[in-house]
Amino acid sequence: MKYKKIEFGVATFFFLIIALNTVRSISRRYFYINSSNISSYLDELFPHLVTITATYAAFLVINYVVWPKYWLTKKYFEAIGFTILILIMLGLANAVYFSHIRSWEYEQNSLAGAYLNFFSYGLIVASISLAIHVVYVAIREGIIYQYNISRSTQKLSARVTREVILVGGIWMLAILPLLIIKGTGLMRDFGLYYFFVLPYCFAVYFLNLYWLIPAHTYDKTASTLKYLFKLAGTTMLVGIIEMAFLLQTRHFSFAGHLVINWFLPTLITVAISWWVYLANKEKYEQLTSLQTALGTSNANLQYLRSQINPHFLFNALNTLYGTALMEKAEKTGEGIQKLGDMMRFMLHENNQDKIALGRELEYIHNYVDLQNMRLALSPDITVDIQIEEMMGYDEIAPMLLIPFIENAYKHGISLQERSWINVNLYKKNGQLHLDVHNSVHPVNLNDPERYHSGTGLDNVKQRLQLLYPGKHELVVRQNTKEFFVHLSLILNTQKPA
Amino acid sequence: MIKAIAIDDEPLALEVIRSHAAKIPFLQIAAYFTNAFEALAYMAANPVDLLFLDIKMPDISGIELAEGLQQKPLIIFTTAYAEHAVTSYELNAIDYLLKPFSYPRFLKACHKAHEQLLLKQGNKLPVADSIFIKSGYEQVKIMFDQLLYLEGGGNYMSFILADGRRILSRLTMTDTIALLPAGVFVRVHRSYIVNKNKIDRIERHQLHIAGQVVPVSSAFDAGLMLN
Repeated sequence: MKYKKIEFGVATFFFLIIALNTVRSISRRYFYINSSNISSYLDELFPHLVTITATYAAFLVINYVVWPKYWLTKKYFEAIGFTILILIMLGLANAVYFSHIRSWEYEQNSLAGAYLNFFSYGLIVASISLAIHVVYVAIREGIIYQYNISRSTQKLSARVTREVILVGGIWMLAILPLLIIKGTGLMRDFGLYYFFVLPYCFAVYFLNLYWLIPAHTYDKTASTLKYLFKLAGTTMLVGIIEMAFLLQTRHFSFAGHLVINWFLPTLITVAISWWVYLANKEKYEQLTSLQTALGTSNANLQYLRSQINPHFLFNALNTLYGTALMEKAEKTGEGIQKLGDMMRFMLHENNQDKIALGRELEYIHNYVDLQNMRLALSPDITVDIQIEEMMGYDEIAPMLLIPFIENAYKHGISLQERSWINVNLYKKNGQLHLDVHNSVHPVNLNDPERYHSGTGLDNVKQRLQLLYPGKHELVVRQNTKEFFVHLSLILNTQKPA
Repeated sequence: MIKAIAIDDEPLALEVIRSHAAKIPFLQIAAYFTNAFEALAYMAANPVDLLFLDIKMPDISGIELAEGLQQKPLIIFTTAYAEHAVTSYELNAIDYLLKPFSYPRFLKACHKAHEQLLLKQGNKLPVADSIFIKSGYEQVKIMFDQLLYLEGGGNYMSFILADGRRILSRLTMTDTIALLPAGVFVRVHRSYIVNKNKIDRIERHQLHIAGQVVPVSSAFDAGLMLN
């Protein structure tokens, strides 16, 4: 909700600017004409300030009281009631202003008639302010909604969409205060930049950042010259459109426009986009490399699948299952059946973006059962797995929890020495918590897997950062004797579509 | 009693079904077939309520066989191939079991079939009155009307019987629920399932059953009231 602070700051800023500007222009008028008539100066000033302050106050009340407290909690009647109340009060405040500038009405109409007129004008202005506010809220909520939707995916297209929406939204919102400032003549100066130069800069920024620079970096036959050539072509093309608009105004000559409103902004924008690119390069590369890695492992899996026909595998497992049952070897049969379920998980769930939490837990149960069969005859091994039964339906990215448990068994168990594993998995307040605590044994120098120890968890760490940014907490602690992992995860609880 | 037959070209797959079915008292598998046409001949001459059917078979695919049946019994497909699941819905199959399937999964499918049959025949079939559970190395027969309530946690389940016996079995809550007839037994707490017919009194957060007190948690209130 950081935007709320920004919003408040911007609103207050504009309020102060407009108020000070009003004071300045009225003071100037007065001290230029009527040097020392303080009371009539204040008489003049007061109505203006009342309107401005009342509008600002109305904005604050509606935005920070009515909106969150009534509208968002679905108390629509109360919300509308309060808004109408504020509308009337704002109308009254504005009426003060109109009673001042239309003071000739006192002579033309009866007192009651004059008051009625002032109030109706005040109400009209108040309604216009309210209408602008409504439009503003609509745009703002739209932006936030879009932003939140695209935030959950880390795909490149989503990021671009997010940025475009953000920039576009801010650009649109900036027009509202500009309309207000219009009276002060600032529109004349800013309007030029706002309507023509800024959109041009945005276009160049996005084109450069998401098209030209990546093409230059990842193209094998790229050279600086080629990039500059492309850049020049793009900026000139977009620049022609911009110039067509700019030349309609009479601010500068053609050469003047070219330099100040095309060349200079181009330089600045290109510099900014390069800076943004370099700053985000790491993140972007991580994104692509992880996606490629995932793609490679998918490809490997496909290859593997084409080599080992899964149907043959499952049929073979079933044959062994049947044999075990026939030989009254129930434990063997159970183990084989669980292995079958695990393989189905590997072949199916592993490829999906999100899976049912229950499926991941099923896999963990199967894995633990199979591992415990291995350890059953070793007396000095204590395994305590506490997995809470999860109520409701939750989704999670696959293979985020399993690697920790696999890790515990891989490095925590030595069949010769005293070992132990404690696993605790529970859900609290919509957050999933996993604690894994296990003993650690010095690595055998001839262990073929000795170099694999870190990479499994590194992959999980990266995927957590990518898929649950700001929504997870991972703590890993280890010493020579023990290893401890804690993972908290905010699940996006969704009902299946 | 459900009269069933099983068809699979692989004898060991049939062995799996035989082993699981032996533990289900309301299921009687009259015959096992490795040849689809022999099975068809049998079905023409004998009434069959339920059919366990493999899909990938040399002579005829299970799907084709099912499509060709005149009088359709209830069908449970048992196969290693997941891709026919959608087609199975078009054939109104009761369930689709992926090999190798565990006993609880098999039982769940049989319960579904049992329910369907009860619906079709308007309750002419008797409800199962007992079940075998494994306690230690023995199989213990539990009569449902002797079973007061169940208490469980982790991987073990205690069956509390009317004669005071407590039978401990290595079963999870979810597996246990699959074993019990849904109309009679209702879950009232994370760790408790009770026999509706044996409840003496229901209070806000607990209930009394045969002199003992069992807690009720709010998450399961609705289930208790509805039933």
